[in-house]
Amino acid sequence: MTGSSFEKFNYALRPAKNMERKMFCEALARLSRIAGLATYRYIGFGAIGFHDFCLFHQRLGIREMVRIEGNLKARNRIARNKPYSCIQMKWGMSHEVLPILKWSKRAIVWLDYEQPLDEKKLSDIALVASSLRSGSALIVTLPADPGPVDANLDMRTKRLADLRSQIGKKHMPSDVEGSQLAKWGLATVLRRIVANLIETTLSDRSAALDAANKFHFDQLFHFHYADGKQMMSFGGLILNGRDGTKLAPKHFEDLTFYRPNSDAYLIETPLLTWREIKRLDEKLPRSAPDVARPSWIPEDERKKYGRVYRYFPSFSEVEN
Amino acid sequence: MAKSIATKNKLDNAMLIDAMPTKELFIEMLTRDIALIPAITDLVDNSADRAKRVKGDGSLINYWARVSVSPDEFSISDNCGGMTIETARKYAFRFGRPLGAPFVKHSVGQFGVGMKRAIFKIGRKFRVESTTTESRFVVEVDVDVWARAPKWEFEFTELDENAKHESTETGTKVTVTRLHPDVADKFAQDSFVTELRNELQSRLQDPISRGLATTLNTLPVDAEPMMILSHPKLAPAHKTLKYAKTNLKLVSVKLYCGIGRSSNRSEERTNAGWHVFCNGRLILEGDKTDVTGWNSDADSLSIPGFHPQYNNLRGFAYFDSDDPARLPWNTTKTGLNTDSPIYRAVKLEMMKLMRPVVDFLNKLKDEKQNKDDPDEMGPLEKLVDGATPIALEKAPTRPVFTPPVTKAESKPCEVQMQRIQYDMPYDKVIEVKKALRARSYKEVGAGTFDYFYHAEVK
Ligand SMILES: Nc1ncnc2c1ncn2[C@@H]1O[C@H](COP(=O)(O)OP(=O)(O)OP(=O)(O)O)[C@@H](O)[C@H]1O
Ligand SMILES: [Mg+2]
Repeated sequence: MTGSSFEKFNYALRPAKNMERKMFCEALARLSRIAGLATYRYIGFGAIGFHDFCLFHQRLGIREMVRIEGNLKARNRIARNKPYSCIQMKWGMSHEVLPILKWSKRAIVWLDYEQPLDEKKLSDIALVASSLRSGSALIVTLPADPGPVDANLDMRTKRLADLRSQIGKKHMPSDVEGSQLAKWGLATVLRRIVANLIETTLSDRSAALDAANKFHFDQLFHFHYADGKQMMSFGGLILNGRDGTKLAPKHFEDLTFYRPNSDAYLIETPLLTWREIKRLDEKLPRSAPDVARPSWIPEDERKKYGRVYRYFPSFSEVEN
Repeated sequence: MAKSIATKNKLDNAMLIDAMPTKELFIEMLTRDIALIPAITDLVDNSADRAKRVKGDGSLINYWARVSVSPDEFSISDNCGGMTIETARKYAFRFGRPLGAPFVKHSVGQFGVGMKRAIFKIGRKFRVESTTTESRFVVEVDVDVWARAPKWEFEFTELDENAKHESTETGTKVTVTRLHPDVADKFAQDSFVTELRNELQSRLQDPISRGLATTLNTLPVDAEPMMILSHPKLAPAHKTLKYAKTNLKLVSVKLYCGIGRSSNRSEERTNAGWHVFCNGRLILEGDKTDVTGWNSDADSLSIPGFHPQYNNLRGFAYFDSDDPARLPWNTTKTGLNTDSPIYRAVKLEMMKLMRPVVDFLNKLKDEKQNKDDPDEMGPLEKLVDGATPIALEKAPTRPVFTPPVTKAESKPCEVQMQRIQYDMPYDKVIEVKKALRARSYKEVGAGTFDYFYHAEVK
């Protein structure tokens, strides 16, 4: 939520992030089984480009949007980049703003963090999980880069100690070992921490409720991707028993990226030229999943493309 | 035939093992976990409960409860209606509420131990006298004698089942004599009497404010309403929750959290934190522990540990139910059952309400620390200082406490600031101060920082 990423490079050119957004969008459109999406609210952080706001407004028709922005330095510039009038700016850090928002509407909340998980962020997540109405969606994105290796240190011990000091002892699963924190291991552990937190919060929240009103979390997303640094996105629906019968896991099973557990979906970006993309598109989806042709394009790239072509950013689509 | 039954009984008896508790152990257990003041408070709760049985949630005017303590004798008398012979016979003297005991809607009595425990806590001899419009009885017990007798029974000393009494004559009086030596000592101390008065005042503020005239050693105990600062910008957060479950009575919960100010420092400390009430009875006063979410390891939402900077935080939680068994209190009514499902859910809401207040008080502290002139108040401090305390139920509320945005905060182009603090040898600092022609140490810090920044960074 620091909003500083736009200073590094254009957010829209982060292809995996771009695809991730569209995947969220495709899955969340199914919330209409519970209530029309026009009745939903979107709460997000976003960068200078407001890409998620544009997409959710255009594709889902959400008209009430709140952007929490802590980058007061760029206040004027960000406000001037607001693409639609229905986006309301709330200035301040998420841990200050979230507790004073109204939660009476169903909402899609995307806590798209650019800084590593810490106690404040955990508290944000718990607050949102304890406030969202049934039929809402919560997505959490976190950096999950295990960081550079220092040959002079025992990386297992260091990574474990770093994680523990960042998130605090109480959130640390007792059986995590330092050796599990390399490569995508950190991302997997982060998913678990966030999932546990949401589960405990919902259990406290539901403690005194009848079965039909008890809240549960149906996980939809567990993404790993790296446009630069490694990232992890975790998300799903907060539902009570009644809404759970209207929108159940089975309604998402057809989505290739649907992940209801600790298995992650790796969003991979194929490296292709514009011409190559056009050639591959002509044969898709019939050529999927093998995408055997044309042979002059490397097989690996062909296959990757076959998996994500519906979400892959095309140049004409670059957002500004 | 008769012979065979006799042998059978004998056989049965031979198979039995005696597990009857001894009365002394029982008395010991019962009284160990309660302090003297909460025990006495329990007795006043009973008077109030009896009055409520007639008046429900209405006014308790014309009812009184009089407590008197002295080194020789303790007594409490009330005119709240008395107990019937049937109640005395079947329920009032039982240890624990038997199934089927009638209950008073919205009562404070639930467990069926309060009166007995209080008596045992205070002394070894007691007398209970009670008059209703139709009956009157007296039970007088020497606990030393009773404890030696095997049977778990008391006996009526006087019993009048068909008498007519004016309603003005009805009521109950509990007298305890042969006080425990330590209790007698306490009852002789002024400081104890003051403490008891303060506790009765806060714990029973609901029945007292509704009219139950309560006295301690003939002096009235006044209700002390809960106060909160009232100002449009500081309006306390308020939330109502309802917990319904099929076949069970509803529990409704009212939460408030905002800013308060007390007239003196020691009160400030007591008043800060959460006040939790169950059916009007104050259970926790100014709680600052993990029970109400402070610095809790077990909770998902993080609230810092209590610190004097939060002295202005006021939280109020009122749990009400017609069925007292649904409330999250413990038997001594001095603490909460934090495992209760309702309390788990409510605690989460309490923490949510208190977060913005905690944030505001952190900002207030920052403001106080960072001001240049110690005598001048910053905008937040001015706001708190200028607001007036009013009774909680009269205060306008909002769904969430929305910390005011002050001028300084909303400067158009704000740069995020970081405070730096450090110590340097005094002589050197004076030298630098001269060299910089600085007027304050703050300027010394800023000047040296700027110098380095321009020379080495930009
Ligand atoms: N002052 C009184 N006036 C009328 N009835 C009384 C009075 N004091 C006690 N009783 C009767 O005696 C019963 C037992 O009182 P006791 O305080 O031991 O238990 P309780 O109030 O039912 O529950 P708890 O242990 O939670 O206080 C009460 O339920 C009530 O019926
Ligand atoms: Mg009682």
